Amino acid sequence: MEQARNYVCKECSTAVPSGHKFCGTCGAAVPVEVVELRIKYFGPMQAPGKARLTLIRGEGGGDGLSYMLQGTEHVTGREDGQILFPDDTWLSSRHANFVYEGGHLVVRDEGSLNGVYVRTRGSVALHHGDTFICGEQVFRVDPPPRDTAGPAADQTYFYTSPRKRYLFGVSQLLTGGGVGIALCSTTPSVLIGREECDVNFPSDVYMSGAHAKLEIGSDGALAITDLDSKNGTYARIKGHHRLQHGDYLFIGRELLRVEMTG
Amino acid sequence: MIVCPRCSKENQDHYKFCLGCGSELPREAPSPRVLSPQTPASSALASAQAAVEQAVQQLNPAVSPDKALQFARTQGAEADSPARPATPPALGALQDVPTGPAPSGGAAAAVAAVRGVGPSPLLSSPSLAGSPRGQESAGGLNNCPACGNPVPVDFKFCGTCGHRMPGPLQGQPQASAQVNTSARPSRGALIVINPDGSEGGVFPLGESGSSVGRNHGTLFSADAYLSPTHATFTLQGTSCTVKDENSLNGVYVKLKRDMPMKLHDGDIFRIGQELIRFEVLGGPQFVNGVEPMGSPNPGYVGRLALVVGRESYGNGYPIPPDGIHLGRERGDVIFPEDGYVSGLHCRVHYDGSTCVLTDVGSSNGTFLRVRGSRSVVTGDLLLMGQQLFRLQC
Repeated sequence: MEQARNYVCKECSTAVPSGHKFCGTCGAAVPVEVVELRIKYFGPMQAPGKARLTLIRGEGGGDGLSYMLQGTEHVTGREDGQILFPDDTWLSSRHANFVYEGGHLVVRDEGSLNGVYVRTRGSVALHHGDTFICGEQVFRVDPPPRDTAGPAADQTYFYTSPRKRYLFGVSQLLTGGGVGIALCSTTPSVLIGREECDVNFPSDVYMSGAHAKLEIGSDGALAITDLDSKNGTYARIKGHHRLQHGDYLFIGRELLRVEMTG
Repeated sequence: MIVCPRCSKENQDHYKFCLGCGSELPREAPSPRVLSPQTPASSALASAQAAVEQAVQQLNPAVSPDKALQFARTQGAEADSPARPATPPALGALQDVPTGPAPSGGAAAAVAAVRGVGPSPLLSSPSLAGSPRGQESAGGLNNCPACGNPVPVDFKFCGTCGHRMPGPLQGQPQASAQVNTSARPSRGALIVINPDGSEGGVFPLGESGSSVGRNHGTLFSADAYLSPTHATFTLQGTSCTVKDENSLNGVYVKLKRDMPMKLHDGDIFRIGQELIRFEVLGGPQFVNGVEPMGSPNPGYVGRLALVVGRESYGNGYPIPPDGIHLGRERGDVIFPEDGYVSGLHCRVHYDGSTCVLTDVGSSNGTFLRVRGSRSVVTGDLLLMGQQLFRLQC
């Protein structure tokens, strides 16, 4: 005794190959539930190649919430989108978007004011004006101060503090705008941390002792390297960025972890 | 490195006074190498005379001022050196050292020569060369009318700044009275304080307003950091009003110890060789309802930034409400390389309504730049260009 492998037409008892919508012998329609039968996952979290975001730390207190990225667009923001954080004043109303490009999850900055920061892996190249996060501090890398100390038209010399050979600058950006600490480095590398570094933030409990190293190469290229800090270093993305399993993102004050399935 | 002969503390090459005990350091130690790249390092102990001559040659007026500047800058950049044209004006004057005749030998004098001669082609201009300005004082010494240092009577040029000394006095009582260092004027005057703490030339002030600047007398003509017309002093009874004539480098008045002075947005003050700008930190600036992301702001009341050029700033520090201290060794902002900054020098804090600057007992003082004009009184110390002056009303 053997089980039929195909659907058998209930009108004329002919076997109908799978995928056919009508019986080839009598023309009777195959029921919709048979035609559209698809294998299902027990739950959407099993879907292969799809991702979810887990809120690690959020403004609204929804820590641990997961957001399934099952659609084609997943707009994050304060007012306009699928993943909303209405209490986060650092978010633009439409801030970022998670989309799949060629089977890969990509985060796209939707022209937000404050941008999207992704936890660095290894060294990340930076350019003047780029920003990054260590602990609770936001930094910007700057060109060295301009040398504008030449004499005036009337040949009066301009007095300045003793000038040194500055290589680059790093500025602490304050919430609400404005610059806090600014350091103009005369050495090729600057250590950022809680204590005994070149720039110290003793009261930042999310900053590791020695958190990250900012350095300039002999070719003038700047790079930031996390020094195995507890909470990581985050660099602002430009435009869009391909994500992988285990990536962390700051979108406004919301810290999200990317988890891929399948 | 100069090892202090008195207390054995190691001092940086360009220090004139020991950081440990305040005694004057031997002058041959600062290496003239920074003055002349052509000179091999072995000639570091070349006589001051040679160094002066060389400096004068290199910076002779035929060289375009731009070039001269470039030279001075290169030298300055090489080693934080005293040859830098911006070497601290006369701040050393207030150091706690025995006063006496300024030693005019040694490389420091050569350095002074570079400062004096380098940036100012005016020095050799014929109009200035002839007029008698010196006045004989005790022991066969004249005081140089340009820098105030003693010069033996038979010298034609000042050994410190290279200024051409006037010929023997030909009876110009008015001119000589102006720079007479022994006879103090009864009315207002600016009195130069030399780097060694002694008093030098005197510039009389009048009630109708007296201008100082590079175009106003020999006391000022050699100072390239003074604008042609720098400031105007007007005597008013027992006080005096000083008005900054939009000068490039401003007029600074020394703060009284432990007397807080109100700071306004954009105010500039000076400690040691450091020029520091105070700025108010504004409140949050929302952009289309979105707050700029950033580091936590624990209520900063302002910010200090090191001035390293026109509209160009180096290191910066936010000021928390309980204030920050500045010093060479202690405090929140330290300048370990500036020997003219005291261990703990000054403080900026919020007094409940505004930010104030307080000198906390520094040796060389905290100088606040005059905004527009202000009243000053007898005994006030003023910093203009590279010179320090005591005011007498």
